[in-house]
Amino acid sequence: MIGGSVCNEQISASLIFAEGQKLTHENKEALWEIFEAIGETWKNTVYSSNNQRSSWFEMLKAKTENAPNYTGEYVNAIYVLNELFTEYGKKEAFKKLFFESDVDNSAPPTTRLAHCKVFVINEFIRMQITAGGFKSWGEANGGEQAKNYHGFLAGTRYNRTPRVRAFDEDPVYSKKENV
Amino acid sequence: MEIPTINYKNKFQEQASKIDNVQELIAHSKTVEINEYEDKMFVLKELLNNAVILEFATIPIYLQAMWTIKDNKCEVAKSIRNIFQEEMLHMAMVCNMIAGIGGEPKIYNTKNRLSFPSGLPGGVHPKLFLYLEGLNDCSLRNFMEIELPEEIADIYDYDSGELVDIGNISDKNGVIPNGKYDKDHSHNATIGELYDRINELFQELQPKMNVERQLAGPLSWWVMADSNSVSKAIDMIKEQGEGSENVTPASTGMDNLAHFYRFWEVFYQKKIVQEGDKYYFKGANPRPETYTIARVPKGGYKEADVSPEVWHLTNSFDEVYTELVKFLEDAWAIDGRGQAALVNAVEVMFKLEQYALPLMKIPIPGKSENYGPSFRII
Amino acid sequence: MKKKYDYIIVGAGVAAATVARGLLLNKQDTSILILEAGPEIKAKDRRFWWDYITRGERPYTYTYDQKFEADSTGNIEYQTDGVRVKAYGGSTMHWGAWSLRFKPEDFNLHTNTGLGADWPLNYEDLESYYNDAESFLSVCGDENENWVPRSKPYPVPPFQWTAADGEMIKAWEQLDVVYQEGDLNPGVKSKIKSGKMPIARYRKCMTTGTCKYCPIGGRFNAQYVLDDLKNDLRFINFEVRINSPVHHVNVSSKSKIESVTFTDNLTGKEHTVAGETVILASGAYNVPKLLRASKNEFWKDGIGNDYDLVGRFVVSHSLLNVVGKAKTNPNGWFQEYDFPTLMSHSYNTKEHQKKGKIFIFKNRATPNTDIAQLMIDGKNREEIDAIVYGEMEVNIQAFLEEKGKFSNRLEARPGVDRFGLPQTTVHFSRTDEEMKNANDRLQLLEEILVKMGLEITSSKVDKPGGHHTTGTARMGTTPENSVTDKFMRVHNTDNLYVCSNAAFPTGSAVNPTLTLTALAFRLVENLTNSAKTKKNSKKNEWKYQL
Repeated sequence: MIGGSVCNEQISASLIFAEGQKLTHENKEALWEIFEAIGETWKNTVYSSNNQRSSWFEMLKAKTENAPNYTGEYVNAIYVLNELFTEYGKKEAFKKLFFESDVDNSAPPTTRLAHCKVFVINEFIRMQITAGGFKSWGEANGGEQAKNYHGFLAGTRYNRTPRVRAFDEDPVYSKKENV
Repeated sequence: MEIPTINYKNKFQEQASKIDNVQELIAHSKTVEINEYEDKMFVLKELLNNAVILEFATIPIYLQAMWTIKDNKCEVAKSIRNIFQEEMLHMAMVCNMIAGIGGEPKIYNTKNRLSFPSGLPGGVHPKLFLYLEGLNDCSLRNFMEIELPEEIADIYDYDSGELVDIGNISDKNGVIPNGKYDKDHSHNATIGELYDRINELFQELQPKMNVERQLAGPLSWWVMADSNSVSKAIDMIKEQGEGSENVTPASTGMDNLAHFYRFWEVFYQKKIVQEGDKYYFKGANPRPETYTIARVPKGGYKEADVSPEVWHLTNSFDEVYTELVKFLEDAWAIDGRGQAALVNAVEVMFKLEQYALPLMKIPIPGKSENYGPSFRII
Repeated sequence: MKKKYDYIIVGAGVAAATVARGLLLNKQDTSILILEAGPEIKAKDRRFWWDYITRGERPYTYTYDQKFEADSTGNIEYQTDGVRVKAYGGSTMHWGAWSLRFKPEDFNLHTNTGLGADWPLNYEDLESYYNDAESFLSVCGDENENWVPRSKPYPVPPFQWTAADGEMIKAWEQLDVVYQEGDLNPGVKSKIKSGKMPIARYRKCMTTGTCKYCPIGGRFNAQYVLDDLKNDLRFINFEVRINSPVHHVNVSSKSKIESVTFTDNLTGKEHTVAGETVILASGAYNVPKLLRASKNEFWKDGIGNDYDLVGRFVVSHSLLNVVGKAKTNPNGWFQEYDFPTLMSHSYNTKEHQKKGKIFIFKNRATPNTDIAQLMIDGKNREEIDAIVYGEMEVNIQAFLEEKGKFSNRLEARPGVDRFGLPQTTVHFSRTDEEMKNANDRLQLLEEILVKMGLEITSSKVDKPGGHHTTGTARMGTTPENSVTDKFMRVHNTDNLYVCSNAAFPTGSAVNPTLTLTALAFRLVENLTNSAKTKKNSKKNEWKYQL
């Protein structure tokens, strides 16, 4: 068990009611820190997370400007993290949350900590991977860097470079143009 | 009713906002007054605005040239499509720069609504007039003129051994005059110079870049997090557009020739190769078969002058084009829809073809040429 | 809403969209009413798309038949839950858009094998309409392939094979096509030939890989066509009503269909609206149920059902699934596209028809690692790397052609679904010989994975999924042997048509939608008499099995 009275407070498993609520600028900055921590922890960004920011921000808007509104969950996550920061310091807090939370990711979340993990962390992770985090894999053994992933807007295939790690049909005449 | 007047901070800024001409603006940016930082930031924004309008202005003419090519899988079509994609990328990078310093890009000049025929915005080239006329000698030479580098590389015709001159742009009637290239009739400020001045100012001012409204995705490769990324972007824009003294990809490490040289290859109908330390036009690069479209008249085709079928196509095209422009501006607007608007813009770009391609196949009654899209912003 | 329309079309899927568009382009003021039982579900919505990415949820799954709304009897379970979208746009809301032509032998199943039935037309009769369909759906295919004779190339270039496909391609290049006991061996050896799966994607596809809810409309969806028709100011008499299930087709005489009766689900009010011509385009599940429900003094057992054939001969595809694993995945391959790119027709041939054709393809979802899930589960980078580059699973799949039988029938059962449409029961059985043949085919797939150096971990014939249901109002020559004629008109009627997979006499081994779309184009020509030449190759004796 990690965290204190905030993290372990029992709450209903359903999405925290937040219709009509909005995130403040500060809230967004705090949530961005959480997102950045994902890339830093799993070391899967090129340079920094900045190139995923516009996608991430769009997701945040979509989740808080439409029903069901996630603002309650996002604010809850900030409170949870604030308690973890106080208890463990920033770096260790993220580590504990990502690796030692003991939250069952497939069960209904019944504590504030579990809500934070299921509705915010896990969803941010999925978004981070699809928006470009996946590119960090492929090259470990000399292979090609990953180019595409379920959910990644790779771009038009009418382009000079293929949008997937493609099978080279004609290795002899390897300079073939792609349509 | 009192018309609100815009209050400028000082004369320098007021003058900067009123200058339409890029050459003058660049010159003005070099005169400095008391509030150095603020004045320079102000004129930097003006310069960036000019850059984004210039980038967007080329999009309609490249698109319609590409669409007239019958086989959209042929080399030339692929090449022009790739150039168009790179221009979109340049535009997106400039929009990121503008958003990064707190501005909102306006991609077309609201005064003339980017109607064709058009000069290059910003009075960058007083003699150049862009027509919507498909892919032909005139338009190709115009495209080269837009991307003109400060120094054109020496390229020889392999067969004759002679140095190839780019010649001049066409006159108002679409006739290319004989004779060698006359530099005096060319730009007063190239696009390259504009970017150089923008880069200079960024490096000098080192503004704190706000990434919040910047976009990174399929159309836009990276955000301008600092003046380093700006410099990287501008280097790329210049290299892709006008190239450098090293012409061929092998020497630049890019995977393709700069736009100027690619257009020249299509214009001259030969491919550029490097042998030793010299460049040659060698190997046929035949002009692909195209639909011959008439120059779209000023103001576009009017409903009263065309058949209902043609009007349906050309009007629907304009509606979709207007949507595209609105989405692009919304993508970087303050309180805009951001990435979502960019995704919409990408989708709508393809919808243009749905109307443009059938339109270009319809002959104008009594003429040997076909219709073309008017690119009107409604 | 008018009192009478030139055309009433039941259903708002791909068939309805194709037919409506064709009729309107032919004559812009044609009055057409499309009645769709389900709701309209917004496409390209950003929130829906983000919920799909982050939670795997899709906004149209609630319209599916639920498990408790359908059952099956017989010795094989026939899956109905989850197979069709009941909404504006129909199943094109969720389809993968694999768009393959039937092969010439598929139109002569009975002549070739003594089983099933022939079509009352040949491949040549449909060929030019296949061109129209491919252009309309924007099918991306390989112009160098020659699986079937074709007079026009694909309209759009194919998607490239992935690097992971390469391993299977190389294996196929070393394997001879096998003819098992019950096949016709042509005596000629050939290797398994690799093909590029033809898929319906517009050129704007951004290879996002979330095809089931495409964010930019890259995958063909009948919604887009219907929206364009609704928004086109020239088509002033075109209407679509959603939330309007049709419960009864009404006649004024045996041969004259007069009107349809539907319920406005939002108000509960019943309406009857007349049509010069009525087209049932609501799918192989709904069409037979609607026909049989439409009893009257002229049709005691339902329209078209005098010989008790409506709903019979139901078939779909069973999936053969073989999974193999390799010890490592050194390139760290994972899923990129959301459709298969590698396929082969080498076992989808006339020689394999009697024992059972199979259409093989590599499951696009393998090899794969759900990296996000590993992170969610709290694995660190090193652990994730070990898994990504570690054991690799490859899944090869095949659609198995099932042959229609009189005793296999799809019909209504008591109760209605949430839209007021009758629930379903499917009687479906396979003979022992067919079971054996299906299992034999597994060996062909196993051989491929073994050649790739993989260890087989599972090999089975899955139950048929009703996604590709066909045959329930099949075409034929007479009312005694079929429900519809060769133009999909219900026998003994003047003006009732079935434009649906229901009309197919055979299911072949490939997805039905391209063929349905081709038939829809042909129907439009027939209805508007605008056929340049009515293609009619001779079918002297139409062969079928009852």
